[in-house]
Amino acid sequence: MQKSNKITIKILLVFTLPLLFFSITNVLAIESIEDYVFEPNSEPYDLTYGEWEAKFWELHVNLPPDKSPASPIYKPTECLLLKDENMTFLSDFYSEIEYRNYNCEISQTPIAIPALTEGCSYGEFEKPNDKIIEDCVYSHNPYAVVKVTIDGKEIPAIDSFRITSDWFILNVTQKDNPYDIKLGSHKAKINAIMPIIKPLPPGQHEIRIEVFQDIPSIIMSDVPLHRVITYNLTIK
Amino acid sequence: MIRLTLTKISNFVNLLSQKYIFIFITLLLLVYFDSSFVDLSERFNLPENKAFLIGIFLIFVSLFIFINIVLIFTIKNVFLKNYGILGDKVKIIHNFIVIYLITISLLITILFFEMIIYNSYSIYLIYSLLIVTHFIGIYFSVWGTIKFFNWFKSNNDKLLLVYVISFVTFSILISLSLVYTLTELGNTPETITPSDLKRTMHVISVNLSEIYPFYRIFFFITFCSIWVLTAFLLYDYFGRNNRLKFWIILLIPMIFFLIQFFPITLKLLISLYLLNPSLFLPFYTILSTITTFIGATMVSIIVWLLIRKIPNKSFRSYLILVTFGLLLVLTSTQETPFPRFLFPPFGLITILFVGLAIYLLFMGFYSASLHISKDMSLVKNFANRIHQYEFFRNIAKSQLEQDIKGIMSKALQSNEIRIMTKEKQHQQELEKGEIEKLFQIVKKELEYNKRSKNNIKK
Repeated sequence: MQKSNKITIKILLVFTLPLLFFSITNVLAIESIEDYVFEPNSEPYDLTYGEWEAKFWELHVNLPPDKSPASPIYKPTECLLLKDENMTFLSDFYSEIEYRNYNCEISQTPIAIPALTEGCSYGEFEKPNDKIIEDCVYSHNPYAVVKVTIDGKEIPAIDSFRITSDWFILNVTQKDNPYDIKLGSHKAKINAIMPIIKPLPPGQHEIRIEVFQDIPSIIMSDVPLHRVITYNLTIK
Repeated sequence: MIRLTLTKISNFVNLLSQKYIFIFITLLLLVYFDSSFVDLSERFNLPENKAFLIGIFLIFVSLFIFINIVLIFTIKNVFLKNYGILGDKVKIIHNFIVIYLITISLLITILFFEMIIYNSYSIYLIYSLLIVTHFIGIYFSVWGTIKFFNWFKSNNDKLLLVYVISFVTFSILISLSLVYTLTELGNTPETITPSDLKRTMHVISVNLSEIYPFYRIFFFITFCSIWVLTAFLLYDYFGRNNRLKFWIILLIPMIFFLIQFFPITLKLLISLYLLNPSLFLPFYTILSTITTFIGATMVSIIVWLLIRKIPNKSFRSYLILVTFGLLLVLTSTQETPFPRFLFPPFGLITILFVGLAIYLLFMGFYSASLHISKDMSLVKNFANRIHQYEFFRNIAKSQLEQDIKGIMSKALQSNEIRIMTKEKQHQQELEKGEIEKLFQIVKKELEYNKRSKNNIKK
């Protein structure tokens, strides 16, 4: 009986030790999450965070209506990504349902995670001015809590990534965009929490965005919003 | 057969109209679900298809019409036997309110049928409903302001001053609410067609009217004035004996109200989300939808507690109307998703109670004061009571003083017989003997006050 116990322990050790080793190496990569995330005041790939946010917003508003979760005619797909040269942007935090999962296969590229975005432009108001746009980009975001995890590890101090872009020109080419922005080039701004991470090691990774938002009634009449977007990424 | 059925229905509604708790709960549930439906639909992932939304709206419209009918019967039952005491003016106002309730019920029915038949409805129906209800609200709140101010002038009771302030804030709040809603509706097309609920709520840029902050600030001021008013009444009820209970009951509605209203407290609250999202979300949804209701309901219940022991049934019934008014005045002026989402117009029914709310609030007090000042036994009853009914006693005294002052000033100007004839013409129903009685009561009251003060000093 004792002998059989010893054999069992040995077998378990033989199988579990290598697994433990691999899992530790995997965890090590995740434990050093701060090494993967560009600092908020840095310039990832020669652009500021604000400039990357502007790039994302232009891609986002020009999505075809059936590919934009904000559109009433959105048709959900297995994967939703936006690309700008070497940068991969995940989808905006908003989806028409509370919990949305995407399964995507991507190459080893840096990834921008638009965990909270609010872009506004002259093209969506009847009588716009700078103040209206500035008020607009801060109308919801200050009243949102955001949590971003990569492989279960939370990006620390996520609020330090709350960054507002400088003024930029938003080129709108998508006629039926869900934000009802007129076609053409418009002065715009965006406030966002959009951490950018370096290319993740090959393998399976999970990026999860959680947002809860509610606006004080003294500011706006709104409905609380809760969204959880999960990206199951296969990095090749 | 039809006649028999109609009589049976009429008897049934008449019976319901006397069940004040039933009316109170129905009103509360209707206003809560109508104003919170969009929030609840978001949290609990309710279906968003047109048929479901219209079905829900049909339930709200049916309940609205039903409760209006019940309230017509209630008002009739409360006032019918007392027109002799209250005078023709109250009767005219009652008939006017019946016509008003029938009108808004018809307008909302037309709106609903347009939605069903044409899959759209005219925005002018909304404009008509808003203008009619808000103007009624403004009319009664201005009248209430003047009446309470007159009572305050002759009495200097600080609680009456709180009522004056409350009615002033009602007037301003209702005006701002109307302007805000009309401004928000300014860019909407003449014909309202179905739209995507969640997209409308979350995605489209918000171009809020500049009036909105003022409207919200006045809502806050109104809440505070009603809160102070309740504090006075509550203190009179049991604050003297149980301070802890007094403060707990008083602070609960205020805390609930403040949490959601201001950015700082709200930020603190939403940061709790990260502790345990699955527990936090249902708790938060319930909390965020009931905050205004807790305040309004507690205020109404406190007044209900105060008046339930009043032995005179007529007088108690007038004040029951006040509790309905208090419940509705805060809930009907709260912000709802209505101006942003219009098909179906969830939140509109809540707003439509604004005129009725102020009518009930004002007429409750006005009738009570008229009744006390004309019913000698009730005056004596109140004059001999201790602190609990001090407020109502003061109103009665003020109303009496005003009646007497009116008669005396006229008596000084001309001979008494002419005055008596004139008074009869105006149906004041105050004879010379009655005036003497009134003087005696006031005198007794002053002596009683003197004695009470002396006792306190001792």
